[in-house]
Amino acid sequence: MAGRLEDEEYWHASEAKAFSFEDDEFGSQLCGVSKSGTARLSQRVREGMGIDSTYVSTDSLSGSLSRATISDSSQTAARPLQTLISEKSLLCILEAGNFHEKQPKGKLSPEEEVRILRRQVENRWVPPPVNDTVAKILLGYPYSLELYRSLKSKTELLDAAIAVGDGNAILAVVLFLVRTLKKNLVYQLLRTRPEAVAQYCQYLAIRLRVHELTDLLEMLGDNREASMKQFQLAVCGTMNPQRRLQKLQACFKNHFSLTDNKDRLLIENYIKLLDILILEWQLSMAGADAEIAKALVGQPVLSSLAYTCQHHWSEPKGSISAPLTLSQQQGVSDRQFQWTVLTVRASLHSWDDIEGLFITKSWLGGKKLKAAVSMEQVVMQLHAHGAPVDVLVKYLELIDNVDKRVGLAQKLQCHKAVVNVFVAKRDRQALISYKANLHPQSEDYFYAENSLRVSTTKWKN
Amino acid sequence: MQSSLESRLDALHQISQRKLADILTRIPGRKDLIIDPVLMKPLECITGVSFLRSLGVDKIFKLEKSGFSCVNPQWVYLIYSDLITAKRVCDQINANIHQDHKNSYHIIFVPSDQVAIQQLLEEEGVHGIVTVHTFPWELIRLDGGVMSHELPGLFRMLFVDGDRSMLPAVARSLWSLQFLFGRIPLILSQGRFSLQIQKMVDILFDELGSPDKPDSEISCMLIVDRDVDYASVLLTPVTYSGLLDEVFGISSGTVELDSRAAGTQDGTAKKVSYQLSSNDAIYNEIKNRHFSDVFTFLSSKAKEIHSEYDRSRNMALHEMKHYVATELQKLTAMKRSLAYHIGACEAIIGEMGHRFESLHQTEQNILEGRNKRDNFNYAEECFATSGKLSSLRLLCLLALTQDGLSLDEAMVLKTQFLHCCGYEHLVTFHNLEKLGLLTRQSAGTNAGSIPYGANDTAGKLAGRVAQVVSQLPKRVSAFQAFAQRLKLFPEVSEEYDLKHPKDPGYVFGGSYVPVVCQLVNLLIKKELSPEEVLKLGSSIGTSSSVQKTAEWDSSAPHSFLVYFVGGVTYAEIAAFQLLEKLTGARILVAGTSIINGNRFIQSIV
Repeated sequence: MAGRLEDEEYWHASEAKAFSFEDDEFGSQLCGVSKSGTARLSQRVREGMGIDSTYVSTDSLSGSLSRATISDSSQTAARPLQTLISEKSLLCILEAGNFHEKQPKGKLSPEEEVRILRRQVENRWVPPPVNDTVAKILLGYPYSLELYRSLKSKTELLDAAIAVGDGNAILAVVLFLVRTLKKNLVYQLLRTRPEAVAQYCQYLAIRLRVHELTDLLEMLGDNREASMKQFQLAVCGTMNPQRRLQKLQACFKNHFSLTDNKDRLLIENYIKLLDILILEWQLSMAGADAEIAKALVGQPVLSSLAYTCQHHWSEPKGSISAPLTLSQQQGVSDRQFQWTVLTVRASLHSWDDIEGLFITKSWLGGKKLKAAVSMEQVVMQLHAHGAPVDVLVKYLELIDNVDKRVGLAQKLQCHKAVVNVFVAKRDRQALISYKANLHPQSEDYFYAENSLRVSTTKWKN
Repeated sequence: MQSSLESRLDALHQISQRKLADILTRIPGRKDLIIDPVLMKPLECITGVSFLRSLGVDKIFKLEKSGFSCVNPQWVYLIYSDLITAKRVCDQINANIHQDHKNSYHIIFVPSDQVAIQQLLEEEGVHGIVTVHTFPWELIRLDGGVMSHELPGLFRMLFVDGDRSMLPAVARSLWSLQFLFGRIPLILSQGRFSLQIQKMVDILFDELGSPDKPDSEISCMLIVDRDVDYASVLLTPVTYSGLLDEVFGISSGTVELDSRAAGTQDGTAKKVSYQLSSNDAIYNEIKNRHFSDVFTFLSSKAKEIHSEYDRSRNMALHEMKHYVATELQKLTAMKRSLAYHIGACEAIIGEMGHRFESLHQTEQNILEGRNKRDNFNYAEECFATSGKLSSLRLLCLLALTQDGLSLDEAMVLKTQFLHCCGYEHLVTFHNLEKLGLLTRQSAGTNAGSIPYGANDTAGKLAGRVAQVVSQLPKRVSAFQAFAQRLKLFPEVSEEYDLKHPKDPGYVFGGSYVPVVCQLVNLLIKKELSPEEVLKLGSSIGTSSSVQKTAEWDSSAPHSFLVYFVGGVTYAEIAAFQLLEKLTGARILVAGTSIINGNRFIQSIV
């Protein structure tokens, strides 16, 4: 029956919970709802629930491809189609894709027949109006562009396609122009028609027709787009590291070497990074390191940095595989450098290294903080890696905002840090009531008690 | 209870089914179906295995690189009309032909046939061997009055690459939709692609016919380009459905609950997909609630169910019999649904909890242009500590609200991003620039060097910036000026209760009202004429148009279809549904896909 009682208690307990010391979960709260709350509820609800597999719908496509799917088959029955749409409308929609030659209705007089025949013959060499042709493309009907032979009719055709805005029609016309006009004329037409250029470029890019694409873009004076396409190709299209480095170097020479190019430095750094990974590390390091260097080629700078932090931490400054060397050479920001070092060294539980990262001793022996990451983040990250309380307290003390410090310290159960704040504030009352909540006989409890006993503190209350 | 407007949407998947059936019956005999994996989810909304079986489909495969083993001589591929997928299919077919197999090959393209693909088939030598079909499915109804064309690649195609080849398919879906309701008398379009779609719909009416219904059940259609309101995509939503999409990603109305929420403690990574439907009473209650209100509801519901079970324990036998026959099943289903949603809540808190509050605060500051230094710092911190999607989202939001970052700011963030995510993302930043979501266009060295493509908004925006800046004494960005004119920042007073919202801005915690929602609101209130409303919207630099047919009778429109070219967010859907409740208007919401901040960034990266 004890279980039942607990049950009762649970259901009638208030949802609005005050801060609880037992709540050891950290950071798992959203809009006032704590994760432990949902977890408890979910446990209750799931009690005695069957296994889901009985609800796998047999009609589901993905289910039939051997993956569990739950779809409610109790969907309200759809109303029959006839009640929702008229037969005529339905046919109109269903037939929309199919092309039917318009059949003349009824019997034709001889004159009419002659007229129709004449038009059919004419149509073999007189191009139909451009709008008709573009509409045909739009509707998915058969069409032919061959009759548009004059430059004027080609131009009109292109403009008609652009006016309707059907990218498919635009591409059809551009491909026709490319086939039937000399290059200069094509460029001339495209120069003032950005929609057509975009459509064509996209086609060339997907078809990997790189030379045509670059030619076109450079002709149109869009060097930036051209350089990006080249870069994309060199990097994303090349798997072999050596080849990639070579291509990248060529790409740099051709497109990014001008001093006013704002991406120049970035590409240079990228080349340097590949250089280090491929040439220096793989050659100078032995065995396993060289293997890892290979794997790092496809990864961001910070992965390499993390690697050096883990395996080459103690190397002297200036050595090619020391973390600081790599970081400076690549221009990694202080923030990212510190965060990477923090994460790696914390995962190795090397707490002392982290102290050296954030705290420098000044000439006069005082300590100076040089953190680019917020101390709250640092404390949370340390906590995530299981740092001991003493270490946490040390960094908690570095959080300037006292309220934030107390809040975080309570969440992480670093009671010493909280006690220290009250002492610093000379707030005896607060300290006494805080002590009341601590486990008697615990280390924290004695710490609080000692703090209260210290005679040098001038309490304000 | 479904409204008549919504129940008419039942026709959509039936028409799609008919279209697919027509194609498959044209291929006689037994056949194997090879489906593009990305089509799987949307296809499930339209059809099931038994339907396909009834049309002679034998084996069903996923299109994969590794290939598959067909048993029937008829191969039917069902794929998106996309060049790269088409190439892969060509390769498989050619390989099969070289092995001297004599099969017959069909490709069904969704949603349309493309010149580029025809060209490819010809070049690959399969033209004439392969029979090509097109399957222009109708808009897919996800739930209630929400529809999606399920063309997730469309945003990038249009706004980044300037590729308009899918616009006709969009036009066609809007054309056939009007056969259900009658031709809509008032059509407002905002944005360059929307304008062209409207034009194409007109051509379709002329060439293919128009509905025979005399009056339209929908009085006004708004077609809107996604770039009219990027903020609604970038901001973090606070509604349950919005957060669910944020954390798990909802695709075609189903959510894949992984081990984070499925309650499998034993660590088996079994995924369970769960269809989100308003028929699920619990989901229907919580989908649009502010997250803080969801848990209260769920726990009271749990209490209810619990006491219901208790009651059953004390029942007499005859009562019990009746109970088991009627109530129990319902109760069990409800309990199951409850378990999923609670599990999902748990996962949402676990994933977002540690940064939700600070993120929300920062987003609000960014929107209103306050504490610029802190915002920038927060973004920088995000670059060091959070994932690439969330950091890029913040960057975009910063750029959007300040009419572009300064070159120095952009360089700092760009360098940090490349360091943590790889130099290959240089291209990503180029794409952001094209979208006008990086640097101030007028200040950049690249001004004017991009003569084409998707960035004419940006150019216009820059012009607009110069104009607005010269008029304003304070440093208010064009974005903020626009937001103030349109009253997009709700006035948050004591009475502003997120749990009982009176204002669509609650979907972003009371910090921002989605633009299009505000436009519709103005139309309903009829304080302004449709022309004036659109003029308000167009101050962000996009072109707009109002089209009225003879039937339009100048009374305030009361039923709407809102269509987003480039995708609509769950937050916007919730905002529209609140607007329906507040005003009594009927609003159907549709888009080329359902988008959120993460998918937005993914499509740029």
